[in-house]
Amino acid sequence: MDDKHLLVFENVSYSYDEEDASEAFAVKDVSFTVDKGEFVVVLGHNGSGKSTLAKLSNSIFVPSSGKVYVEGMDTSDEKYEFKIREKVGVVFQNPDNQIVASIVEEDVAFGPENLGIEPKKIRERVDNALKAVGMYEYRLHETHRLSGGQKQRVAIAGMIAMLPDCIVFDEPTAMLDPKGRKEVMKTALELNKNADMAIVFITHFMEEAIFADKVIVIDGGRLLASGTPSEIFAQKEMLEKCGLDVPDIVKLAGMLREKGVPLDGNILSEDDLVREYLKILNP
Amino acid sequence: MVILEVKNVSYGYSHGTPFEITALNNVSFSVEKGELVGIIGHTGSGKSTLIKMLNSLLKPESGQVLLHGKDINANKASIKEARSKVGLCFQYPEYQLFEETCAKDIAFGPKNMGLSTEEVKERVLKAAEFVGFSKELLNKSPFDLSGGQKRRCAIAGVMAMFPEVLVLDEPTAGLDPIGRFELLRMIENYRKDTGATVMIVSHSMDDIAKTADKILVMNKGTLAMCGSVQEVFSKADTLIEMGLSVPTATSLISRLRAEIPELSPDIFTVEAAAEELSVYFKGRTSK
Amino acid sequence: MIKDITIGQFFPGKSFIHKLDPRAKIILTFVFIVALFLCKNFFSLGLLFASALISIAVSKISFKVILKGLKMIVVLVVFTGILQIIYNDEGTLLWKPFQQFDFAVTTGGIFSAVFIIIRIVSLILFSSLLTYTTSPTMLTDAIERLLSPLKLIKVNVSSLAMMMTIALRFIPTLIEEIDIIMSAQKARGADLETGSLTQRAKALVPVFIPLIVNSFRRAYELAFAMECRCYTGDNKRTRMKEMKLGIRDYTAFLIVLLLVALVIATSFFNISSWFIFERVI
Repeated sequence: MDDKHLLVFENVSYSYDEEDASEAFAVKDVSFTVDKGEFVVVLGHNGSGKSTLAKLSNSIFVPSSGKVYVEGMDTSDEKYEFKIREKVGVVFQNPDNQIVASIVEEDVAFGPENLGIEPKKIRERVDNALKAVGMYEYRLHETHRLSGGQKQRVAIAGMIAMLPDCIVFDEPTAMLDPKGRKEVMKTALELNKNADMAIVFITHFMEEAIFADKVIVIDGGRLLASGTPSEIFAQKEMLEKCGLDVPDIVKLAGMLREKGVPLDGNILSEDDLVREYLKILNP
Repeated sequence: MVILEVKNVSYGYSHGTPFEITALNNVSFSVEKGELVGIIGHTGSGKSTLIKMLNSLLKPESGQVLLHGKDINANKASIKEARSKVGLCFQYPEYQLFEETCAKDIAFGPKNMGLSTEEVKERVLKAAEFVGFSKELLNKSPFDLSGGQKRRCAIAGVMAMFPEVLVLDEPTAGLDPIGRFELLRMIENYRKDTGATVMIVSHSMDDIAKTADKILVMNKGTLAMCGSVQEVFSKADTLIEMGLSVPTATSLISRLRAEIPELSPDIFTVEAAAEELSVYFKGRTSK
Repeated sequence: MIKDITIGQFFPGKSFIHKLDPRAKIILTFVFIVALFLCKNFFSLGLLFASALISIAVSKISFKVILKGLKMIVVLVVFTGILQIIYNDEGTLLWKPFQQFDFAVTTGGIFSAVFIIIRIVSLILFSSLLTYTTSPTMLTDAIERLLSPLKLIKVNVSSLAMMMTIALRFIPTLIEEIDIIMSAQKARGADLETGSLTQRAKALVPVFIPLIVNSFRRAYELAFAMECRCYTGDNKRTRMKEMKLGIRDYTAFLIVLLLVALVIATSFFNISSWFIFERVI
């Protein structure tokens, strides 16, 4: 085992049907690693098996075959179960269905309370976690009155309060409006940058992949491609074949190249395109 | 021809509690037959309240909603008529499926309209066709379908009433790129086939820019703008002030225009932007 | 609108009442309710009603909200009042509309109607003040602690408390969901408001089936989320908010004790026989 890797998937397969595992694999022979402080985006269409990966990463599901290691701990070994869930937090898609308490700070305290931490330390962790996601002023608010983006940030704070090394986001933005989506994305990026937290961000919004250190594409439960955002988005046909797309800006850059505008190959964001276009106009 | 008219409509929620909100404030607009209307506005801007007004699920505290020039809240019969002529499909409609089979679920609306068994059957088949449902899928339980299929089944349930105005609240929320693209195409098919008016609430400015004939912009319970794609998206600054975004292409071009004022401001789609930028590039380099 | 219900809601705040230990609040509410049933005359009832009003003022919850909560029970209150007027024949006869029927409005009837109405209203005021000023989690925590002696007879009190927390947390979510489903089915022409009782019950099937299916889905997802946060159902949980009875709570206990003593004294030892209403009756 290599200590450098925080999270290791080693030929992992998973089937929801334990009786007949040969049928209907949700995940089939997937291998990848996540390093400390790395930002990994997992892309896949609905039902591609990408969400199953989230539950495999913290021992909620145990692989039918293959192994998942968190900091060297085997997720199929029951004695590590709690330790693993402390190290790898998961934020789910539906903001309503992961908030346990009616009041923001009480919800954030839920995890540390389960760990049996003493009250004063819980208070400290909760306050820090809420500050990290910018929800401290809302600590006494009722959870059900928050916006979708705020609810997700509370859910993230609930994970931070357990002091994990990695947070897996399972389509956290799928049910949010653009504002909420931005809030969650910004929070994830800040955690990655400021707290050196490893992030696994599962999504089907292509624009959310442009910040990644590494992008993984999942289709039919299999790992189809892995690489930097530019490498992945260069494979437009492969993405379309598995129900995905490229971000509009990347698409636009591609169209311009086809029309004979000699743009640099590495364009992911609006900033990139503005800069490159102006550069070729005034060489 | 004007089919639906909203006149000076106001509405508020939770009167007398600390959570009181004025959801709609003196909103007026009209919608033509066969138009595709995009409704944009951030969460809490009054969009959801507005669409509930259109088929009398909520009644205006003041003002009127007119369907073919008649007040839909005039009496029980007019309400019933509005419910069948203005089809309303909420966000995540798949969470309202309840029947044993998809066919039965799609039939719920037409049955409530009091149509004959044959007519209902015919409509179910036609609606299934709009959303690309096979016979086999129709006989399945809606709870056994994939997420995207459930969504289409639920939308078919509204289409089966053949509403003259089909209103959809974020029909593509939560779908992946292909799912979004396909669903929008199905809605467009319905509009072309029946000549109905379609109103879509959406957060995707790119989708709206591509498809809409007219855009309503809601902000803080009022109708902030109402006009063509060009009229609305050319006021990018105002939209951004309201916390809304503009289409990707519009945003890009407006930034480039700071350096290159010759670029056209009326660019709303990626295709148009590609054309404009390549033509400009060739013009500049051939000189 | 189903969303307008305020009973059972929590309004966060920083008042004296908000800051009381939730256990103290539960016990005090209970004491007040018992006192309400013990009091026998207008003096003691007035005392309790006044303390309810004062407590509300101290809690800084707007009276508008309180009135809104009371609106829900108007029918019950009016109905009880009318029953009292009909069945109480004591005191001076004021009005006898039908000679052939044994029905008369008497001063006694009116007084007992007013009495019972104030009693019910005070009851609602005290109990809603408890939920308005205490977060659901604190409430369940307090109940858990008050019930902790039951652990001796092997009742899993902390699981019960967790269930209550989750139930309270999901009430607003489910109310919202019912609202949406009802709107959606109405939009498809479902008639939920007219027809015979059986027709209406039948009409609710399209509302309840999705509601139940969705609740199971929510429960399934919530269970995963809770597992991710290391909940097992039988781990020894600690709490962020420790409950400690402080000077504030003892002061409250003392005030209430005095009040209740006064209520009992006036009710049972007839000190207040000077009180005008008493003499009329």
